[in-house]
Amino acid sequence: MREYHFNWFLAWQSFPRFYWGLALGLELAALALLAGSVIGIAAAFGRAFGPLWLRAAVTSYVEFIRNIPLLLLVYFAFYGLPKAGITVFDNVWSFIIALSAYSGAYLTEVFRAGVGSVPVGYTEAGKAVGLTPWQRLRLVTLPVTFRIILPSLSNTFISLFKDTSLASALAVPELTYAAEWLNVNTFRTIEAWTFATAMYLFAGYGIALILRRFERRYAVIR
Amino acid sequence: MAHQILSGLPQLLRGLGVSLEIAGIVLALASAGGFLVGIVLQYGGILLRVAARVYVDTIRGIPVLVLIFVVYFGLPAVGLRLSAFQAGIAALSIFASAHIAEIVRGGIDSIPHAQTDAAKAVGLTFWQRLRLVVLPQAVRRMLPPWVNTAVEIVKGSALLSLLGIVDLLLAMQNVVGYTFIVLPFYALAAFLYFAVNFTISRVAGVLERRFAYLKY
Amino acid sequence: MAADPVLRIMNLHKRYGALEVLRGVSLDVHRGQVVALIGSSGSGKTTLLRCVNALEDYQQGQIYLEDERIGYHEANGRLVRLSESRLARQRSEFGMVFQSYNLFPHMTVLDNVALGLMHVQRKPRRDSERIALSWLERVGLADKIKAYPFQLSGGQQQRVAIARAVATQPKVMLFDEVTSALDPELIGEVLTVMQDLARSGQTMLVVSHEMIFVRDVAHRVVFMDGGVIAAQGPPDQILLHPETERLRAFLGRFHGVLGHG
Repeated sequence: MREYHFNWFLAWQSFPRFYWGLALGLELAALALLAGSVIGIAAAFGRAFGPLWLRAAVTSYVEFIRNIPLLLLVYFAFYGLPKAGITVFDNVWSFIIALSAYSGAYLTEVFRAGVGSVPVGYTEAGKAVGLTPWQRLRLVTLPVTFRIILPSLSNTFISLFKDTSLASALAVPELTYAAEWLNVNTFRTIEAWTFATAMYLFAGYGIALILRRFERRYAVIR
Repeated sequence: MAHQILSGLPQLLRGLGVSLEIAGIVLALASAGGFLVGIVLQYGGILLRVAARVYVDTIRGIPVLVLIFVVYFGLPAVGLRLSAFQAGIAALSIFASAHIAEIVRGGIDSIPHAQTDAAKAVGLTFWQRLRLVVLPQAVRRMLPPWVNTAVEIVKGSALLSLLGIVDLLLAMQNVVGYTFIVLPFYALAAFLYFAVNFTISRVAGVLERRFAYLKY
Repeated sequence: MAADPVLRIMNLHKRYGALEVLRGVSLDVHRGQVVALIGSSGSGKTTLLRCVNALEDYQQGQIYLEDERIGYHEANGRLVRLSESRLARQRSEFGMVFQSYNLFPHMTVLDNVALGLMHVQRKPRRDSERIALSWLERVGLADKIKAYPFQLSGGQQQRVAIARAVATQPKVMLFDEVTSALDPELIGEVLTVMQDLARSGQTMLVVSHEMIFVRDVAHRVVFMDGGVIAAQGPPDQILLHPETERLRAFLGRFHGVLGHG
């Protein structure tokens, strides 16, 4: 400790980097949650109602993604896809693709469980009223499913937000990268990582609070 | 090309060995530490419980990568010189121990209070109750999430490649770097990770079924 | 039974928050006696039982097992709970049987019964298993020693629970509505075991709704109402000639069984 000279002012000057990094991290997480949800809903229905090959494909996808490191997916999206001919994505979009594919696998399970736990009484009431299957899906099953899985979605979002730290490996300027930048350029290690840690904790706690309130209003109490 | 892939294989396998070694050490350390913290969370005095709760929630509230960098960069700043390997293992162990602490606390908490009552009525002391009645039942409930944590640890070991440790991921990147063959090696690395984690989960499933006679 | 009581409960007071559950309960149990506690739910009888072997705490009062004060000692006029290890030792002098049996599901029947012998009384495994086996024979389950609790019926589990409680030869046995969770056809086998124990001179404190059993086996019946002892005496007096309105109202539920009312 003797040899370390604190310089909080120098670190504070770089604060915008941290702030915008946090914002970018949240954006990345939100986009991945959205894209992952689309994948998840499609996959959940595919596995529930599709032909055998589709069910096998979804299961393979989910099992595969859940058993490999996210970092491998990230590198694949950035370094591997161009080799397969897809060259249009920069580092930020490569990461979003990787994180979306990753979250899709987990969300498939969330949606499957959610649809499965819609009380049979609701769909039967829908039938009794005379709704077509598509109407029942749109007006009863999906809205109720959404409310049931709201806590899981919140937790997934917070998880994804923490996973955005891996974007720093592609030099995407999110929060972890900001701390790395400060560390490498000014050697203010403790300040840099204190900022990052504190911001992740506060952001996580804040998001959780907001989402809890949202849940209390909308989540189904069964 | 097949020849080149084959020549890169030994390096990948060496990297896999490093990954497994890391995962094994981390799992052992994290299980031991997490177990202690979990017991404290469940049975400790108010001060210890709060401290443990703060520890667990803080560690779980930050990304594991940030924790790795904090340990790797931060420790030298306070005078502690660790190798990348040691720092990486320390960070991963701290991270996983927080998860395991929650698992242990949850497992113990799920044992019906009536079991503790019966154990008290027989005249067993606190440590006897824990050893003979509570833990044997709780451990069986902790097994699935604990295996999950083991899988997460294997996946987390890949992050240590960012510290320059030549695990499976970095070995793959190195091989790709000098052979310029990309997709096959990515596929191979992915397959190896998948095989390891899938096996771990399956073995755990078998173990779970062996203990399934514990119906409640 | 002119000797000193084996169990003395003196002026017990217990509160759950604002609710007074026990309001000055005093009771003596002599060696070899079977004392039955009857009353509606909420009258405090189960709470009283659980206070005896220190599973519950209380704010005021004393409980003595022979000469030893159970659960607390006095310091500066305040009750101080004894250490965990002392409580454990005191509890081993009691044997408790619960309404929901509470057998340890991860152990065989034999291990359940031998547990107290091995770990509390520190007997060697061979001796503990031998004693456990003899008690299991006594309750009629010698053929089930290697079974696990989930493989037994409710009545069988409860008989194992009784064997577990009595194997360590406790001074007083505590029974907490042990037949209330059983299917009717299984109640008889458990009551038979309890009657057998009573006849062999075991001191028993029994909370029960089984009025026939109480009438036939208990030496004394204690009627609890609203946290106090409202009436006590021999079964014939209490059950067949109830003197108070409350007692009559309570017993009215059982009139077919008791043959009056």
